[in-house]
Amino acid sequence: MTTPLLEAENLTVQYETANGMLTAVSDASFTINTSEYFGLVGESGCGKSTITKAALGGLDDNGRITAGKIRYKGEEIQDYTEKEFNEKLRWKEISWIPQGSMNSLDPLQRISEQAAMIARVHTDLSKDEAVERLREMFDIVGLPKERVTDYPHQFSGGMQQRAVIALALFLRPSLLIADEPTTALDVIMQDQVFKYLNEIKQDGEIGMLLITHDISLVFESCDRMSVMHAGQISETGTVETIYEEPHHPYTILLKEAFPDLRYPDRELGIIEGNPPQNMGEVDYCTFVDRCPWAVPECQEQAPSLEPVGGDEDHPVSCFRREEVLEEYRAENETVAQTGGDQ
Amino acid sequence: MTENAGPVLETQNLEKYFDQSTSIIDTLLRRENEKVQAVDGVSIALDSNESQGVIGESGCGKTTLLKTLMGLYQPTNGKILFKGNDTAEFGRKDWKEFRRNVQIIFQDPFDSLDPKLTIRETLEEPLKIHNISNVDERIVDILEQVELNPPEKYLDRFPRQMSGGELQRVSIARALILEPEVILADEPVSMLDVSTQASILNLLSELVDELDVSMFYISHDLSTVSYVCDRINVMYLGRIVESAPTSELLEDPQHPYSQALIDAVPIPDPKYNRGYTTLEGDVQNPVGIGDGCRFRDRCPDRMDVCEQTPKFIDVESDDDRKVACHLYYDHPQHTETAHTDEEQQEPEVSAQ
Amino acid sequence: MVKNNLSLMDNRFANNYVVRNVVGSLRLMLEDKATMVYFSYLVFVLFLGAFGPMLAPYPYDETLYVNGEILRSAPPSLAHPLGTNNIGQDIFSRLLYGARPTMITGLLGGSMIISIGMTVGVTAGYVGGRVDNTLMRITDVVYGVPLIPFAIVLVSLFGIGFVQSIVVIGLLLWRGNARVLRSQVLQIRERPFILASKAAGASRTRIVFKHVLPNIAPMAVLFFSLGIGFSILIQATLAFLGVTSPFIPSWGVMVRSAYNSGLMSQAWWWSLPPGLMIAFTVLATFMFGRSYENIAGQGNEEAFVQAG
Ligand SMILES: Nc1ncnc2c1ncn2[C@@H]1O[C@H](COP(=O)(O)OP(=O)(O)O)[C@@H](O)[C@H]1O
Ligand code: SF4
Ligand code: SF4
Ligand SMILES: [Mg+2]
Repeated sequence: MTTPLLEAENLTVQYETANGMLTAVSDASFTINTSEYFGLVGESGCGKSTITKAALGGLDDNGRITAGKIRYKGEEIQDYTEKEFNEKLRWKEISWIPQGSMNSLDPLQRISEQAAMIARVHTDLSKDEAVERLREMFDIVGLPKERVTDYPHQFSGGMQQRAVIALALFLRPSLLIADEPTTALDVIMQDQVFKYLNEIKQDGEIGMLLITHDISLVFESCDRMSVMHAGQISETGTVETIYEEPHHPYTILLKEAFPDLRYPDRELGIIEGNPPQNMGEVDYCTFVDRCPWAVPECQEQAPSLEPVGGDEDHPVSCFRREEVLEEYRAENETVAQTGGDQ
Repeated sequence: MTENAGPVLETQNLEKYFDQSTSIIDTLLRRENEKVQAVDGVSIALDSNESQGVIGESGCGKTTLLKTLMGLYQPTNGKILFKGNDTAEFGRKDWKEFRRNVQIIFQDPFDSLDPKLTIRETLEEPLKIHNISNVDERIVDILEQVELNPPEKYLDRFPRQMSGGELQRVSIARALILEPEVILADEPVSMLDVSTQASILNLLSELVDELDVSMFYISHDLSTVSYVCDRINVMYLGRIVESAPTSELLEDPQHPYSQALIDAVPIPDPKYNRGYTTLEGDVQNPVGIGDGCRFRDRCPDRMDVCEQTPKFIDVESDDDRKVACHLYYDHPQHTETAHTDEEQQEPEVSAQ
Repeated sequence: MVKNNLSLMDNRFANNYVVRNVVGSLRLMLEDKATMVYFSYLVFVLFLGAFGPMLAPYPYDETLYVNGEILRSAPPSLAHPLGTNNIGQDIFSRLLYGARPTMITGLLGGSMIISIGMTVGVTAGYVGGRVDNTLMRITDVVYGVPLIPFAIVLVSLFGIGFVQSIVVIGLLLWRGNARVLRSQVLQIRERPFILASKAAGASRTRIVFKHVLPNIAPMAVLFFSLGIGFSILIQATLAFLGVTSPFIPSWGVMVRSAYNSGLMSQAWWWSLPPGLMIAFTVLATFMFGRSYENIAGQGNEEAFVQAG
């Protein structure tokens, strides 16, 4: 078996808050393979950004990895120091497009200067080499090469986001982490960004961890994905598997809640309630209060990620993972039929 | 105010221009102050019990249109008719009547309610303004209607103690509590999480079906609009470029911009290959843009004639649809007349 | 917790949004230890302002004699815990007496500053248009007026006096408040909840009193406390220039007398206590206002900078 690119194993991340230890991520495991596009989907606050920050040593001061491991190309990195992250990983191995990153460009520096500075800190490329590489990347993300010397404000929102992507890619990392890269953009701008991300994918040189609340984007642009709810990974699999055979109640309902332009007359599914804030140890399923299939057991123990139907590549963290999909389908069959009779 | 069987709310050739802030140098040089043409000749009519969407990218004038409709901005030109009566001629009493019957829901649930007021106080305010009695009863009813159960649980809460979805329900409740005839909704779900978004969308479309209200729903997100609206107007840089019943627009968009918007919406299905947008660039600023099709610098189909403003005409096969694009009519006989905004926007409103 | 507190209050009282807001935030604030210290100190100073003169062992203006000789500049002793000044007055007593004029200066000056500033700022911001223009022009002009010459001119017109010095402060220092509050109002009035209220037909008065004022209240409280602090400080400065009555022994006047006597360095017991009291009082009001604003509204650095 080849070594995965990025691997999280039973990862728990906690924040110290005024009200006690807030568990933002609990017992999360997933792997991203080399040059794979991997999507991580969930509602806001479910811990997506926390996972990415943990992987890059960028947790807020009050946050800590309290259990589990993160491996990059087989090497454990959860205990890396700031210096190690800078020297070994950031930018040249893993680059990161943080949430709201359009505003992360320094308004006072030309994009090319920002690139030169990053190159100076993380590599021994000369300034000219760095700028030349940036020009290549501008071309790839569909920006005119000669505009590398522009200041950020000379670009529109969508172009700024593409400039950020170009910066993230110009040191040729093996993994790009993109946290809600298009949430602030209109549909057409968003589509332009994904068009280029998709083109980059064709070269097969880079893997991506795409963090988003929009399951459509993941279905469209990723190979594999995880669904997350309130700190727990609910389900992982290829996008086709998750689309066709979702086995976790949250995944099933989430999919139904999503508007699909092709079927504007379909009734949208609803997930009742709100995700909980988990304090301290999480020894229950975090979906239990919202789950129509919950049984007492779900309150008493946290379900671990176990293969469903014997498929090692499709782990689901639900005690009733083998039955809910069938039940759901049976129920909705009858609904559909009675609906059709009238 | 006289009653009238026509549309509840209608705009005729509505324009809203803003002055750009001018610098001293501009004034000294006597530079022409270029106006921001945020809304430029919009004619739409909302029938009772109908829900219409207005979609377009940010910056295309949607919110300005809504605020002008609401009477929060003074129109630069054109008319707003409420039940056939021109709001420009409204007196105090008419405005009060209008305010009771036209309500608004905003985008940001976290900023839509006064942080210093309890939910009860927020809902009470419209009733007090319009001297409506049995306040408590109405408040409880309306909270039940927007599915905040049990209402008592929410009455004394402050906005900060509630989630985004709950807050948006309160906003909807506030809009409904006066039993209005028209609701204007400005991107009401775009800041909510998917699970909540679905329930609010369902709630809105139920309300339109069950209560006797009409709705203008404004959004950049076609996939949510299509769940709620019977009809969709596509807006680009201050102008409506296409108007059609929802299903027809989705199936067979005519205007190149409508096509681009529809094509760019991601589809939640890994097997479906939608292809990516071919559009480049983004929306210009609507400042001093003069004549011509506003979409021409991004349009994949542009022609020479597009330097002239296209008429907003009926689509040939279907008199329920309209489009403003030179692709859809023989331009030679129109080229002479297509110059002014006046003419292009008024094909169906005959002079009275 | 805020709620419990409210249920104890008269309902009408509690329904006043401004009051509810202030009381609720106070509660929250006092959970913070540092704020509690500042708060206690302020209560203590207020107490001194009210009862100080009664507690004073000697009349503040009595010249004390020992063996027929004036007790000049005596260092601290049991009988005179803070010693005496150059004309034989008991400093401790003067300090206790001085709390009252100092507090009056602070409260009066602070009230003037905030009431003028808020009236101008809110009116300009909310009414807008020509009214806004006019009011802001006036504010600009006031900004151009330098404090000290203005004080000297006013005082030469109306005479040197304690009240005059406070009026000078109040008439000038509202300018910062007016500007910042105006810009706050400009922001608030475009917020959706105000628009929604307008859309429901709310009148201008209703919007100002029910929505705008409660929402700027945290900042107004901050400015009020800053105003108190500034008034005390500036009055001390005016005292230095001799533009306030030297016979009313506010702490500022005490420092000045010490300075004038030329004994500043030897008789530390004379200038140091009132100096420290001023410094602590000003610090405590600033910090207190700061923490109120942090809790009740969003912290705003800019407000601090511009308030001066
Ligand atoms: N610095 C922090 N201190 C305390 N709690 C935090 C901090 N950062 C995030 N959280 C909490 O951790 C949880 C997960 O947050 P986040 O990872 O940002 O979620 P997502 O990216 O999925 O929206 C949330 O409950 C959030 O409020
Ligand atoms: S473990 Fe229980 S509560 Fe959690 S998703 Fe499965 S059935 Fe529902
Ligand atoms: S009028 Fe011309 S430029 Fe405008 S949309 Fe039609 S074809 Fe394109
Ligand atoms: Mg996030």
